[in-house]
Amino acid sequence: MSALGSIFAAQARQLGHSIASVRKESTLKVAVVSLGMVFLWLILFGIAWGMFRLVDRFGVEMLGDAAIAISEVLMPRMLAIAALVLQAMLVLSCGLLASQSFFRSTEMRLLLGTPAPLRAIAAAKLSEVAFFGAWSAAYLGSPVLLAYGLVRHAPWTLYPLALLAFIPFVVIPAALGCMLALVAARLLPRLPRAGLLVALALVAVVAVLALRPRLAEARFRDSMDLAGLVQLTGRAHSPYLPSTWFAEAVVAAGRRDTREVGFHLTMLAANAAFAAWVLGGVAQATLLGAWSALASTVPTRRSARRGEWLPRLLAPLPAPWRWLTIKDALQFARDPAQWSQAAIFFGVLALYVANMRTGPRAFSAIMWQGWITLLNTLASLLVAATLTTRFVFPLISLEGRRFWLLSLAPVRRRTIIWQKLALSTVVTFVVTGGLALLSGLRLHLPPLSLAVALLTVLAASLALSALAVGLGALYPNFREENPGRIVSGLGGTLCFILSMLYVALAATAQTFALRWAEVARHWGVGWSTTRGVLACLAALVVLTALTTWLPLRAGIRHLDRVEL
Amino acid sequence: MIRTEALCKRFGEKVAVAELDLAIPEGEFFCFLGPNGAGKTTTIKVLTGLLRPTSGRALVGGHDVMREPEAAKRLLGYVPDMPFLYDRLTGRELLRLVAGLYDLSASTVPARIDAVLADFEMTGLADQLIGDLSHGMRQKLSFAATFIHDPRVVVVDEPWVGLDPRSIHRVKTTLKERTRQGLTVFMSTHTLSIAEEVADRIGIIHQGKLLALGSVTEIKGLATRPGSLEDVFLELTREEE
Repeated sequence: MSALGSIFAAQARQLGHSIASVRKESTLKVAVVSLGMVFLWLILFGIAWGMFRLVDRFGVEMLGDAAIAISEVLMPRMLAIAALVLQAMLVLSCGLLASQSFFRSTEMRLLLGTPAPLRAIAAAKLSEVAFFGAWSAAYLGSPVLLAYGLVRHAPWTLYPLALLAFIPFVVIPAALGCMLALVAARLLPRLPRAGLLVALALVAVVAVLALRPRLAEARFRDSMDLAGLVQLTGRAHSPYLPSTWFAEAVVAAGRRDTREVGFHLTMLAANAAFAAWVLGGVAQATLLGAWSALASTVPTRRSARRGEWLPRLLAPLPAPWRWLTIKDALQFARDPAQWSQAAIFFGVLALYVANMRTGPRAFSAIMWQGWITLLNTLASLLVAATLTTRFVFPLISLEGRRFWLLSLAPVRRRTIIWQKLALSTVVTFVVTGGLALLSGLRLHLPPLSLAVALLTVLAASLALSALAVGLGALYPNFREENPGRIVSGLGGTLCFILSMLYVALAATAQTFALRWAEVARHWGVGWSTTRGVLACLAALVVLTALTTWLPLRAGIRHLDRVEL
Repeated sequence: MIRTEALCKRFGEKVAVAELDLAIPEGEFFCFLGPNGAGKTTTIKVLTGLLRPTSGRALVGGHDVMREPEAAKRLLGYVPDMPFLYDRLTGRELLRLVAGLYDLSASTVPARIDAVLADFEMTGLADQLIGDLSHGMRQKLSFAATFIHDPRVVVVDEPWVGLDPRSIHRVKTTLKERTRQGLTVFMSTHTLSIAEEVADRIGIIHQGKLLALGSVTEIKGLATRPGSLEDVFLELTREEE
């Protein structure tokens, strides 16, 4: 068997063992996660179906001298936009996956010690990265595709053809991600850290300055005509983008246009093959050098006095709490995988806040205020849920094989849980409370609405932190060092689903409290406004208390008993 | 100082440690020998509270490690076979964390850290990230972390992997000297020559059962014909065909 065949066979066996290991998980956990994933998929499908149906009803409008069905123009562009967003996400996530897979997986030491060609190793890594990247893209993309097919009454052949197009559609960003990871590893260890940060900051400033006029031009306006909408959406529909080829292949399959399908499939397949071939060349040129460069970085000696402000800041805390918090903060700050993702996360948040005033002016009308308040809180709660699931859930697992050190100390294991809960609640509230306050002020929300929103965010920071810490302790994975993989396991998925459920219920309670008069009228409830508002707030308190207490109790019990 | 009473640990059907009775007095250097999978690490993990015994109990300084874990852990230090430490902390930061977990007096911590770093020849590397250290250096850092709170009992699991001869000598000498000052050492090892050199008493475990217990001379006397500790070990732990 060839080297590539052997590596593929080993990868297939590993995958088989991973899938088989699901049988060892508790049935309840698997059932909750499966149902949750189906539920989220249905929500995505519902949103996509609603949007396609809406566009389908727009009818016919004049574009210049020609009368055209708006849906014929917009739907392919909506598909192209969805595909472009997926591909952009894939390049990023595949880049991170590739960086782990090429440079942090232990099997690479074995592979590089064998005479296996570097092209074969790169091909094997590409397939691994594409596979792990593909499932999330398939999960997010399939409801959009099905909704499109149903609204357009497409033939069944659309779906297998889309699946066929999906393979090269994923391989292209996966290959790009792999190349980025290889080139970055080859070049970055040589750049001094300060210089690198300055260079990145300069690139970011130049990019913002260059894109600002285009972004301002592309914003939705209150009265946008079809020509404006076509121009706006046309930017994502470039004939040079693989996302456009994929969207066109799908649209053509819906029209039973075999020739067009064949053309776009060929474009995708040819470019995927070319990208894989280029990756092989890049791997030959950079892989060994990158490994050597990473292994040759000179250890930096850190000043013993640097960072002394942190112990001083936390001085009022008991010693174990203080030093556990410092340890968590330093570990986070020195992990590029963690802070780079945090930087992306906060960058997106900054964009969200910066764009708040670009919505149509009609949104400032009184009738929208209630909904804006809800959406504002919802956005803050979703940020809190994402923050806790991505960064807090893995904290206990990340103690990993070092957990013996904490277990040996004369500190009860539950202290570790309480410390992580406190840290998470404070950080989550500072971020999401700040976001809610900032966005509330920019949207000119009334003081009462703002206060209720802040209270909801405070309750949610505690509950979502407790959920993430509790489930993190209940389902720890002490063998995994990659926080991304810890989160994508069953425990992380369960945490995400339950967090979303809490967000939905908390946001509902808040909406009912703020709009009790309408709720009472609609449902025929005879309670006064005061009684109704108090009942909603009581429901929020009970929900928060249960979401805090139950997972924490389960997590503490489990961690107390866990054997290392 | 260390006592196990009918200590038993099962993993499902497999008996890892069976009815182990041990009593190790204060100031003794005890070496625990046995082939791979004999139950040495399991015994150590029960002694350090990382595993719960299926039955029986383990005591450190008179404290049951399950019922009074915090009191037992205050007396205990542990050096594992694989030095998994926080890669993104420096050695000094790790020692400060450990000192914080033991709630040592803040005023004495810096001097204490400098002392243990010097003891294990790690002063020059204290401000480097642990991830940049070699296996042997991490092992020495584990020793330094173990001694930061001045334990009365130290449990060491196969500590020699990755250590250079000079470091082995240093660790060996330090442990032996400290036993003379009252420290009790429980060490699991495959390096029979070192055990023969430093041990006050030796225990040999095989398939979860304690086969032999006594001084080096007494253990050597168990062989059917006079020989080295290695000969006795091989004879006692011989697998039936």
